[in-house]
Amino acid sequence: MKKIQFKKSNIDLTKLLPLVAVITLFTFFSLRNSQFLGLYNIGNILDFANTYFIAGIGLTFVILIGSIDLSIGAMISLDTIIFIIMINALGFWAYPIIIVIGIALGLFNGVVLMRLKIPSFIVTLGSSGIFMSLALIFSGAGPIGLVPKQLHTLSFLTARIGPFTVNHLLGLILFIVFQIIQNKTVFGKTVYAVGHSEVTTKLSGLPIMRTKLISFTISGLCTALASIVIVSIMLSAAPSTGPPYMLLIIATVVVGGTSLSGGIGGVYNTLLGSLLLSMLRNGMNVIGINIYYQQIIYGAIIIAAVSLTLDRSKIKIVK
Amino acid sequence: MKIGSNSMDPFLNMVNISKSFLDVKALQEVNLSINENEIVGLVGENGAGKSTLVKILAGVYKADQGKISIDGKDIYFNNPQDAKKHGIGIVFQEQSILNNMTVYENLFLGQEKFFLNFGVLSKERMLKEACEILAELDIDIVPTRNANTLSFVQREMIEIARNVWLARKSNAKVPIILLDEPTTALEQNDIKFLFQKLNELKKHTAIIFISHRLEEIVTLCDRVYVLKDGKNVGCFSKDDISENLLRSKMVGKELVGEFYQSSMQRKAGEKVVLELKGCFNKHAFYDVSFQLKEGEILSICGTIGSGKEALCKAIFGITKFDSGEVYIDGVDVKGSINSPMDAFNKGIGYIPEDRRNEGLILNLPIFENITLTVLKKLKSHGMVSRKKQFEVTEKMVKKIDIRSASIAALCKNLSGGNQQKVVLGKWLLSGNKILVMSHPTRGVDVGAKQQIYTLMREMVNDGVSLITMGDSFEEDIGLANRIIIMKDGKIMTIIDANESKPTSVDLIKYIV
Ligand SMILES: Nc1ncnc2c1ncn2[C@@H]1O[C@H](COP(=O)(O)OP(=O)(O)OP(=O)(O)O)[C@@H](O)[C@H]1O
Ligand SMILES: [Mg+2]
Repeated sequence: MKKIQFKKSNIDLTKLLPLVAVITLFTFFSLRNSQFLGLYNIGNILDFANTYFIAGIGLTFVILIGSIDLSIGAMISLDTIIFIIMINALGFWAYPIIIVIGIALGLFNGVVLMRLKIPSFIVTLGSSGIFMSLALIFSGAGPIGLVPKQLHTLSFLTARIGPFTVNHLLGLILFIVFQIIQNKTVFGKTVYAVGHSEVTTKLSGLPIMRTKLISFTISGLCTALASIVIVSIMLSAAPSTGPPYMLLIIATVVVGGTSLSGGIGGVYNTLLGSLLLSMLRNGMNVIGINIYYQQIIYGAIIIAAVSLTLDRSKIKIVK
Repeated sequence: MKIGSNSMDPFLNMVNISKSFLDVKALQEVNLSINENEIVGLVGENGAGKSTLVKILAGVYKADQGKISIDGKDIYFNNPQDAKKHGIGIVFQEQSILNNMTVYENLFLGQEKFFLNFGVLSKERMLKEACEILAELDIDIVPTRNANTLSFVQREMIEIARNVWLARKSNAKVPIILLDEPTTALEQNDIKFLFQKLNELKKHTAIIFISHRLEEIVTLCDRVYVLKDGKNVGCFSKDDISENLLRSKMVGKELVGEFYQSSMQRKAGEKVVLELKGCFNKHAFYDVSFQLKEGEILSICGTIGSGKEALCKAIFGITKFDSGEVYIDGVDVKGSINSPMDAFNKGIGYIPEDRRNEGLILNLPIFENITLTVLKKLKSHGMVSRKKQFEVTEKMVKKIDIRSASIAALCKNLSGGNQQKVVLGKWLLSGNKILVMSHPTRGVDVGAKQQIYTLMREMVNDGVSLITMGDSFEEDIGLANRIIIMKDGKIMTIIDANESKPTSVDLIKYIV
């Protein structure tokens, strides 16, 4: 009997468990370390969570439809480099430009997927190579810094009010907007339907291809927005900027409880996932775990989270 | 009668079995017994608890209450493996044969431990035992064949063989084979074949057989249990069984009115809503031409391979017409229907035969499924209104009598008939005027069948036109205004059933 009840409330559990984990971790670190609740540290945690959350929103939609986007890391490299070049040259015009470019990169992934009908991990692995090359070409393979006279173009994003910045406000707005898109629009409903059963959705006359295209485009858009946040904090960009983000962005989404098999999870889960990882990282730093070892923890967490949320009945044979 | 032996007691006995799923009482103090060399039928409406009962016997579910005994000894299982040790094996309707493996690998799936030589799998021994068991059950399939080349009924035979073999290996006295709706997806010939095999098989096994087709039960079974709302309502032996008796016991009352509601049949309108001219698909059919009138029920008959399935799929844009002309309301639409979405936008709908995988999203609730086709229409201020979703669902659930505790119940927990009604409801809501229905009453109980027929009549009287492929000739004849008969990809004839209905024999003439 117990087992079946567990199954019935499965969906709620994916919302509840990450929340419990966030609260537990928060309480644990607050009690262990008096500095944890300090203004500076909270700001730090939020900064980190915010970046991963924003990039993770797009990936959430991609994963909800049962696909994956492995090009986010390379996109961040390319976006940040283009963004900083544009700021240095054009100032505020860099914002609309980078957003258009982000959308274009996502659209590119989506169109290739649609035309060639090959698995998304291959498409995005391939496009990842293309984006990386472009990043190397545009940057001359080295870091690019912000020219000082353009500092004002970025600095307002990191101006602090208490532990909060304008960047965090952006994250909050995106959360609200995409939460609505996810739950209230035909597109959002279709995303879940496709994730659960693509055939049924198709046979109900809903647009499968358009839904996939939009999901990948959102991923491109959100990656561009995350790139803005990254540049506003680092004030520079390099081809090597993006790749380290990839693993942790995937971790953010799956740790939040969004299932790699599609249809389960959402933006709210990704928000919790970002807070969870951010606190964990912060906690590990405070406790003094060597940064070289931290990747081990993230890797293990991804495997554990996926094994908890994957719907194995959908995957006949594990490859 | 031997003294001292309990030969009066049945071989397997289930006593007072009860099982609830949260608030649903699926079974209440149900009894069932079965003897060696016996085929026991299990019938009841959708949701009566048949599947639940055999799943308990197979160790898939645990009963909340009740006792199971074999050969006079009480037995307890915690999982399917325990049940298999007692020789009990179940063949689900969703088959568990893996396509990318050979027959013999499938036969011994999960039992590889029996074939290990110092940790290495012995192919020779597997092949030898596979040949033996297949020969014993007189199944004519080469064990090295790839499973993806097998027909549906052959796959079922492999699953049965797997269970018999395992029962032997476990030294069970009598293998007990549970078959949950094994004939639903079968053609007439295959059913005959299966029955012949089951009649041989019962000489050394005991079989429980579930079906919604009462004529099958009557011909095959030695004894029949009828379940209603999770309770026993009768057990009849071969001499007493008749279709009518079973039907009235299942429904709890005599079914009134003519089964196919022919009295509600009207003459179709004059307007041609869909016309095909010389349509051709290089893999499936050629030179197909016909007209569908407004408010008409057009049945398509034919065996598998006659091209009827492919034709219906092509009409909904799932497969292609390689050439030919298609007109909807007199407008040429050839070339503009390339996907189901295009067909949908042109006012066509499609009810697939595989409702679990293609008709429904099992992990989503009723209201999300039913409103899939009308999401756009339920928008207010650009957003899909949950309130409207609830409203239209509540209305539809009432209208077509979907029985469920709540419209938020997941579709996977509904019984077959109610699942099918959700699919129908989805298309009723869509307002599309041409519906293609592939086996709309497959796996649905008699009571629900009649409700679905009534529903179809109501739809055509509202001006919807239906193309249907029925589950039997009787259904096609009973429902249709006209019947298209296909063979080898070609239309043999179109029979008018408006004035007088043809008989099955009339149809078979053209098919064989
Ligand atoms: N896993 C489950 N969780 C919740 N309810 C369930 C579950 N399985 C079955 N039920 C409910 O138990 C009742 C009996 O279902 P069961 O599947 O045994 O019916 P059935 O007689 O096999 O019907 P059908 O002819 O449609 O296959 C139904 O009301 C069904 O909704
Ligand atoms: Mg059943």
